Amino acid sequence: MKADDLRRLERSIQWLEERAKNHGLDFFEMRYEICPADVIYAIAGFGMPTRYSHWSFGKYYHRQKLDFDLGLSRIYELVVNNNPCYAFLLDSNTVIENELVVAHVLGHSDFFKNNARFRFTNRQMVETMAATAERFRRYEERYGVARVEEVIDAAMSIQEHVDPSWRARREEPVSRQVVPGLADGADDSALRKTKGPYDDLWSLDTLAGAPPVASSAAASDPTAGGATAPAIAQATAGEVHPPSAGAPGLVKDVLQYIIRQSPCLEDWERDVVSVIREEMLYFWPQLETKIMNEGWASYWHTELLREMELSGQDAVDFARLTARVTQPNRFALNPYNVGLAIWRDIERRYGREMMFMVRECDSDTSFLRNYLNQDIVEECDLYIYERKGETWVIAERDYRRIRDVLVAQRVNGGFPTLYVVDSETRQTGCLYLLHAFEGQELDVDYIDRTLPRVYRLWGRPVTLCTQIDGRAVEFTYDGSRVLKQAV
Amino acid sequence: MGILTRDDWSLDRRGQRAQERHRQKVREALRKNLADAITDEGIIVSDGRRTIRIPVHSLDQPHFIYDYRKQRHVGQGEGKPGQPIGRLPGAGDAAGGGSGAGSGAGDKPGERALEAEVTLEDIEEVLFEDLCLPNLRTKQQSAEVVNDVEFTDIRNKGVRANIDRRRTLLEALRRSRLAGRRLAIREDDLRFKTWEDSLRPATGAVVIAMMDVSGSMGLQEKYLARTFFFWMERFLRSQYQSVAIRYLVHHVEAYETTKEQFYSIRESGGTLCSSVFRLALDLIQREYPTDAWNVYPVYVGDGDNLAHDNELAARLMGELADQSALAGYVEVQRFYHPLTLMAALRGLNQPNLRLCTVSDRGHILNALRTFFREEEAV
Repeated sequence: MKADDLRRLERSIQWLEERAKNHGLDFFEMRYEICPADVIYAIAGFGMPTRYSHWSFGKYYHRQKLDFDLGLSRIYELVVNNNPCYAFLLDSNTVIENELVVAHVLGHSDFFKNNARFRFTNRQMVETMAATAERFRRYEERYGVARVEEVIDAAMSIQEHVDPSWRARREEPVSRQVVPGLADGADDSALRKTKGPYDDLWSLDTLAGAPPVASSAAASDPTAGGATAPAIAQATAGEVHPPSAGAPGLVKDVLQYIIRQSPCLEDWERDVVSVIREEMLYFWPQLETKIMNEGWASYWHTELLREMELSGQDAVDFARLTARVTQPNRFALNPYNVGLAIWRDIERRYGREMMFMVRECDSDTSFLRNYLNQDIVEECDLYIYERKGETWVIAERDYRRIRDVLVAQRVNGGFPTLYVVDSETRQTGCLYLLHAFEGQELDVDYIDRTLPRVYRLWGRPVTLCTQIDGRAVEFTYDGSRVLKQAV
Repeated sequence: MGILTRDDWSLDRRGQRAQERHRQKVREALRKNLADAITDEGIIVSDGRRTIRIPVHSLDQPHFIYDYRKQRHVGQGEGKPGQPIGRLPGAGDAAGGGSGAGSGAGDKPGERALEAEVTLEDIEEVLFEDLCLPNLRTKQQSAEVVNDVEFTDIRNKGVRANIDRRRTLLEALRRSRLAGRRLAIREDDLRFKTWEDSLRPATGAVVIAMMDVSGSMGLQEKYLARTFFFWMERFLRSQYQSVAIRYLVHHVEAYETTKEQFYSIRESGGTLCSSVFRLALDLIQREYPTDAWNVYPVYVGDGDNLAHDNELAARLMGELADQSALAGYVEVQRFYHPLTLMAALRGLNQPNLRLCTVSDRGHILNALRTFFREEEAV
């Protein structure tokens, strides 16, 4: 961007922010950074500007950078849920493109700040991640890149098995600082102590019905830093009988369970796993509101730019850009396109005030359930497709079915729901995972490949119970191979 | 109001560093799959222009996921119910076969996540790591010379790219200290390296590729030969400024041919190895005097020589080995024959002559390693 362009952009930012506020948008203090393409793609590959380094981020970075260099695709906006809110602008963009991005990210920033799902996200995540990256670098120096990588790889393979529900999140302090070295001291579980020849004696406690997690757990909980005592007790109790689980003794937050109970993890490894967990909980609301959030931002960038009264060429560029961003995709729903259509429909039917209420209270599931209708399905050409033989074919276009498929895909973020069965695990010392089967089968290949990763975190046999062809099947990895057994 | 900033990001290398780590892991995987990768037809037949995919289990990122193929999905676009919209990349192909007995994860087609794309350069980098040129002799004079530059002098004026940083800093230090000032580098302090053009004898190598084209050499055998020569040429090119290749074929008679024909000719008749060895000796004498050339005669055949010729062939091969940097004899055997030329050559006890047997593609890597290693292990 040339100096002239920068000055124009600066003026536009001021104008756009003012306009947005007049419309009722309520966003975080904004920081706009103009960067070259490879920095934008590095941030996109890492997911965040200050995250620790991992080879998979390098893979994404390379792939996206390659597509950019070849002119195949382009990232237009990159915005971080943080206070202040960081937005990254590509320096090779034209002014009008960057003006559009600014208007768009104002919508995101407003959404981050006001949508209920984001209430418990860490708004200092940029700083937290910078500190984490520094700690991970030290671990790499001390324990070697390969070992740190191994733990990250293992934790990432089950990173989505956390408990993002409001109830669970409410009980945790929002900004958590993991202090390495504090995690030991008084041990918080029977399992973690079991290393000698008399291991099995410890589990007698549990069998006899004595409370397995004593008050020492709360005192040594590394994450409980600034919370008040009752809150800690509640959180700890909630771990054994979580209110969000279907039945008592089922623990939804698999990672948390491993962090607290794993008999094999060292302190720094526990820290690595808890970082992966924290980050997943931070990203989760974005998974849950993809359609709403992108639709909301697209709605506002169109509104705001329309008011800017663009001159000839800029107006053409703007229209072309919007068309490119909202281009439909045959194999997936484009959240910009469908989100925008739903928001427009809400505006037509219920007015703008209602829009602000929806952006505060809903997530994609309720958004689709409440506001997707046949008009929108037709406007966006939505369809359901399924496999027939070797090809995928269009199945139907009824909005109720489409809505149900979309909602089902979003249950638990689209991931299978797993629970740790606490009693079973305590009795045998082997981690017992139960898949809450709701009609969709798991990919068996992936079970075989994922179990060894979980074993790395647990250090003892790991079992996953799911349903295949209508029958309950247990997959157990014992350290050398996966055994499959019908129950 | 928000703040617009534009920082200098030129030193930010996080993306590249993470990418490098990813590349490193791909190379590790390649190292494990090297024997398969170097015989991949995608590389050999396209002459290195195409890339190939190798399995990379260490790059697997498994999760507990739903079976994608058994789910319904939502897409956008025109079309009536029942209309096909195509195959999904990677997902559609894996279905049909079901999990066959004993097939490990990632063995099925279409599981692209477990594969990485590698180029000829990647393979070369890994393959050539542990290959070396043995028995190198300094050549007295060379048939060719190349232009070379040598940095010989330091001057006060010159091209910026050639600044001698150490001398410049010393100069600046000396000047500022004498004047009693803070260290600062001035225009006068700059020192430049300068060069002179020089002529340097080129090191050149010639490969004399010899092959049996009698009826007993089938397509398989020729592919093995071709693969072997392909990597040999590649490796020598990475070591010498110029590498020439001459192609000699034979049945009962020997003659020179082109590269294309070399791999496609098929003649009938018996096999007389001595004929091609003699032709190679002539060629060396005529065109590649050994005081100027590094000669690499390599013979590939099935070893099925006419019995009465073995003695002569072995003697000629011995002479060839004497004159070359390294001579090779590769026997492509799909079934084990005990009485072949190999037995006669073993008797020579020539350290310059390396022998190996290749019976399938997996052995090519071994053959290359047998050739290009420092000492002949006896």
